[in-house]
Amino acid sequence: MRLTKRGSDYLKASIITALISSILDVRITLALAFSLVLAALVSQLLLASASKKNIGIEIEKIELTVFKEEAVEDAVRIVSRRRRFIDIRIDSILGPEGVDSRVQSEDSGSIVFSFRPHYAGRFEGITITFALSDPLRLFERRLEMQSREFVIRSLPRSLLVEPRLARPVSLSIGERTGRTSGHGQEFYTIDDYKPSSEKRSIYWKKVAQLSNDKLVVKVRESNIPKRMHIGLVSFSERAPEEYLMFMDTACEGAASLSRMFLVIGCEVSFLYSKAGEIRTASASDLEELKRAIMEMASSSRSSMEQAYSIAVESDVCIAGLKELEPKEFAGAFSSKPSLLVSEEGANPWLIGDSAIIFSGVEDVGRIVNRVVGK
Amino acid sequence: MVRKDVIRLAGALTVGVSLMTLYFVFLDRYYFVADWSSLTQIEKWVFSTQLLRLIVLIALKRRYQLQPLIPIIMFSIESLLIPPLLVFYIVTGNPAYALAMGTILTAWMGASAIILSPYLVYSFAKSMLDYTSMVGVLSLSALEFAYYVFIATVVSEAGSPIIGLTGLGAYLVGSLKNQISTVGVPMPSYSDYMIAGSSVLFFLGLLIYATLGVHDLGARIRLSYVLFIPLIAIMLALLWVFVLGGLTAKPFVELSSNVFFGLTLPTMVVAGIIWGASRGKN
Repeated sequence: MRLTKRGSDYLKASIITALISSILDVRITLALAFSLVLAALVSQLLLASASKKNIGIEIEKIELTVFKEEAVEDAVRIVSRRRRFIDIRIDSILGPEGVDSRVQSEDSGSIVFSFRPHYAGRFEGITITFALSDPLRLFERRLEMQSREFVIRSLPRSLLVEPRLARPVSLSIGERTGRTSGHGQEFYTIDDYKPSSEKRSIYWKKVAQLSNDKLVVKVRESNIPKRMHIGLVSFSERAPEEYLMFMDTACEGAASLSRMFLVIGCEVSFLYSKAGEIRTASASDLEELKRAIMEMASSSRSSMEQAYSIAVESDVCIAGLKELEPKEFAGAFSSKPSLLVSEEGANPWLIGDSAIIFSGVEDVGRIVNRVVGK
Repeated sequence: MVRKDVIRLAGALTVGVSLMTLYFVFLDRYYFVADWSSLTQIEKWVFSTQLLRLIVLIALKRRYQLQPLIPIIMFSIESLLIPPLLVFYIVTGNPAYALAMGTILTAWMGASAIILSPYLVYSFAKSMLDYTSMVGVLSLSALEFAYYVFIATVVSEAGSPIIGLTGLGAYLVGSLKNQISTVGVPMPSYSDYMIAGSSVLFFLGLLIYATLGVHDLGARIRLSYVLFIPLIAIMLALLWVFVLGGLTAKPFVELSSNVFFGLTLPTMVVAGIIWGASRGKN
């Protein structure tokens, strides 16, 4: 607690008046000075009684979902019976690191803030600083309050980009039809014979029915895997800002890969580590994908053993270049189709041929083709 | 903003009315003891020019923003005559110059008590409206109140008629001298209802002004709740006086004769506690 400018003036005036009145023996102004300091004391005690126990906040939307670099608004309301006597204002709202917060409007009931995340990912917590003032405005105090329940889900912008449809190398054995021509067992369509067509595919029965001498071939449907597993490998230590950038790029990469898999017809399942265990989040459409990516973004650093498990169980991995610094892991990881998040200062021991160093803009179609057509 | 201005205006008006009441009490009492039957030329000249200067000053103030020094100079012209008169007296040795000096000074004081006093009330009330520093307003309030109570009470104690403006000036100076020499206080008897009423009005006006009217208190706290604070303060102050009276087994009047221990010291102690408790970094 500290004196305001008015408080300082008020206290000085009371003391000087008391002294002058005492010298001149003007009792009425002396009594006035005494009453003024008592009023200040009462006012100060009222302010001192305000605490986190009797001041609360109500956040209109406890969870916000927004695309990266887009602003979203939310309202915060102060709840306190002390407001009768104490002026409570929200001095500042500090979002999680990587999220800008700004006051949009303020009225007596609530304050509207806008949040703009600069990184994709899941952000938790909000810090609200209150400026408290006593009824006479002689003193002021700051009170900081944190809410862990507040969550901002910042979606990667890759989800907004229509993926360039990758034509996967079709599989003869797969878990589901790929809705493209391929080497599966099911009949897909009839096409004209081309020199590259296999002779055993000529549809003789149909050719016999045709009046001209045109050759046609049976085209079989491609088979693709039912579900693609994307693993997030993160065990290296990173500074908070580095981690935000890593997760941002990882989310963008996961979104790009997943959208392509969904277009092909695969479901997507993310493998990640959280709270000491490996978790999965699956998606079969865009809405589920948004949720699944955000779940993946809430992952925490894994152990080396978990990293190996995730790498083994995944069809494609997302990792940072820092993860490839340990020799053993980089060696084992090199053959894995992977999307490696570009990181400054990283010194990877080995980067395999199946990897793409990804900074957020690269085409990931090559990896998609590779993993679908393996 | 509007609320603050209204409170400030109400405070200034209350204080102005209380001081003007004291001034009218002075005029009323002076009226019965004044003898203006034989005013000298100097007295007439001092009185009429001071009245004229007041009118000119008010007229000028309505049109121009005057420097604070200008009214002081305008009302102190008489005192500027003293140095040349003193020089003439020293050079010539003529006692007329010494007499003129005495007459001018005392007449100036007497005329000022009658003419300048209402202007000072107006200036003080206006300074409350044009607030710059509470230190200035409150410390001046003690001096203003002491002056008006002094002139209102002292003339009623006059045993004989006060002749002319010089008589009034001399009487005021003499009374003040007596008060100081006896370490007495130029304070009234509060059995005088007019003065007691004005004092209460003055106290309340300044208390409301100081607690509510100086800065914008913000629209978030209702005025009725803020008013509780000075009200509680008055109750605590009264309680303190009664408790202390009870503790020392002295009646309030006797206790109030030692104002330093009864009020000054507690004021300093409470101010010290407040200051000490508000030194934190928020």
